[in-house]
Amino acid sequence: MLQYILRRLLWMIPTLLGISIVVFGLIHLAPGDPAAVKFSGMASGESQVGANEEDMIRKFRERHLLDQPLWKQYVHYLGPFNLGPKGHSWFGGSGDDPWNGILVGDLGNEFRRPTVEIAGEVVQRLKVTVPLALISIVVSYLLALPIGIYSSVRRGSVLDVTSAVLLFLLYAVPTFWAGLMLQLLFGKGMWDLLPVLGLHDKDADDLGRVAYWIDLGKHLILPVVCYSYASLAYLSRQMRVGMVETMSQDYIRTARAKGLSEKVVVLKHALRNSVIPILTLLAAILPILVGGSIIIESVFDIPGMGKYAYEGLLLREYNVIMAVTLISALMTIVGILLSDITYALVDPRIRYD
Amino acid sequence: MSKAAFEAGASSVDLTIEDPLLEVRDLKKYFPIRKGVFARHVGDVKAVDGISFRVRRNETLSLVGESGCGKTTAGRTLLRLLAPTGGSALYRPIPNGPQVDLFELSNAKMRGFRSDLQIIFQDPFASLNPRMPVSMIIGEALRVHGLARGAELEDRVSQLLERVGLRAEARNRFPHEFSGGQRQRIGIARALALNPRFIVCDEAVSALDVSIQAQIINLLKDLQEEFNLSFLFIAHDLSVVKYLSDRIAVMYLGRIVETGTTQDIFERAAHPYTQALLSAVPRPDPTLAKDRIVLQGDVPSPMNPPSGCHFRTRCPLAEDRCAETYPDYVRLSATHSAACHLIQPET
Repeated sequence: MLQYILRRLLWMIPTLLGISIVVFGLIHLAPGDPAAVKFSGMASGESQVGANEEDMIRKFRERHLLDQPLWKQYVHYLGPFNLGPKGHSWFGGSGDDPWNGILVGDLGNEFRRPTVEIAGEVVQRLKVTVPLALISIVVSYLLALPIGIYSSVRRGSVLDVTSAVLLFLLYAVPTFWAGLMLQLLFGKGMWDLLPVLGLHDKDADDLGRVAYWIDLGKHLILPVVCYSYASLAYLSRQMRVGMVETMSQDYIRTARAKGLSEKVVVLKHALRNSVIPILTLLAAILPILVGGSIIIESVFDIPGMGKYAYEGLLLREYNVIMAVTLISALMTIVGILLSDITYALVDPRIRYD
Repeated sequence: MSKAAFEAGASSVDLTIEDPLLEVRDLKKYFPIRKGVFARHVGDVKAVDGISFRVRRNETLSLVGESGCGKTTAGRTLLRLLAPTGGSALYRPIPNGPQVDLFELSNAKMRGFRSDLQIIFQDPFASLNPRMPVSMIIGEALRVHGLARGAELEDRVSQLLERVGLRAEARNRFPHEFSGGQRQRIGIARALALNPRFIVCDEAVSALDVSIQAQIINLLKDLQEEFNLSFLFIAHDLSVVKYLSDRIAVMYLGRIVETGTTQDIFERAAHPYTQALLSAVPRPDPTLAKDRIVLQGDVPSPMNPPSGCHFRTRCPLAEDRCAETYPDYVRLSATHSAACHLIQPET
């Protein structure tokens, strides 16, 4: 088992490398570059870019190697050598700052705010996004399991059919639309029940400890609803299918023949067997949540990873996009590994050696 | 033949059986066929269409027939693992004591009788919960029915495992760690755990190798003697049935076409279908004439059975009248009856 985990961890290296190459290539294919974005503000209103600005853009490109061929930019990004003018002397640099790139743990700095280190910023943002995603996962599982179990046991009942229709409708509703509608309904415009933007009121710092958490909780309700409804629909349908299949298994008949009550048959014999595929769906849901965070955090103005990625995309912050993508990829791969390990833990038949 | 016996002759029950452990009367199980958006009821699959039989204490009645004839459905419906469509199952646990109709009981009351009436399933691979250790599979029912707990429960499980020829250490292992024969032994131990009086053996050996089949059949025979069990042995293999049964009922398309003692069936088979089945049993004697009766075509659909005698479409002897009415049972002796127009009752 340990050996298996180790092997899987080693496999992550080529996977991540491949992802980084693809993403690096893709973002450089997108029109515009950071220099143009950064200095377009200065150039606005003028039909021609002044000589001064042109010089600044040229210097900026030189500093960030944006004038170099793509492969060189990638090697620079990957590290461990700094290929820039101040880089390692092996590559013609001055040797002041020989190391660079993700291999030495440097995710680079923002172009727009050169003093901001992306690694530190991402950690700050993850502290918002990951708890939000976890809360949403817990909420959707807590609701999906009972719905799935109920509709499988009472198959064909009015509640089963109506919940099926409702859940399919929910699944089809796009998140950005749902988010905006929730804001419209619950915000100041109509019912004025819940805050619709950000994580805190602007005077949150003056609140007491309890009031602070209540305020945070209120702000979280709508984003969590937005995050969880689609996965709730998906999970509960999966749960229902799994339960229906398990309930038709021979060993369920055996359990009934033993004279067990229906409750024990459903909750002990059937649930244990059908909950496993649902657990492993976690790995499939996690990346969706991370991806969904881009939309939801933008709609609700939450300062998390998603919003960071969105801003990075608009401003062509290559380093930010790379950092966010790689971290999401890492989370996804780790999530899949974790779900494979859970598989082995809950199913005595599965042994990885 | 007396007048009363002749009147009662229009049934497939063995008249010599008095005070049966279980008497099944006119058991029916229909599966509705629904079509369209509104699940309109358009017909029924008459899987079991009115079968009657009695089971003595300490005897084995075998239910045989081709696949799809309804024998497995009959066994499961009898134990209320499927909801019966009609009929009754009169169960009399104590000799000459009061009898209860299992089909009339509430689900909760029926659970109380589950310890008396057990079943061994055909597929030893699918019928054991893969997520439970053997001790749990066997012991769970004991605990649920309040028959044993704690150390007593553990002892009982070990005893049962040893009784069916497994080692007591097997208790902590999971079903997938056993071979097919071993799994079937676990299934048997599970059924035995509650001290039942009656066990439905639903193709209990069909999934096993022939060599293992013999072991399991011998085990079942030993257990029957030791625990005074009655078996309803459901099978399609007549050679297995011959060795194990006291009496045999032959089913075709949801109905019993012939019943009798094992001797009646193997030596004096009256129904053309039974004769065809018997001719399919391999005989270890190459000098015997090959007089196999090979039935033509498939079993007709139980959704839309042929008019008159269900077997007429494949019967080598069918006449015009066979298409008109379903034949009554003709009593050949007190123990032996068959449903066929061509059979003359003994006079």
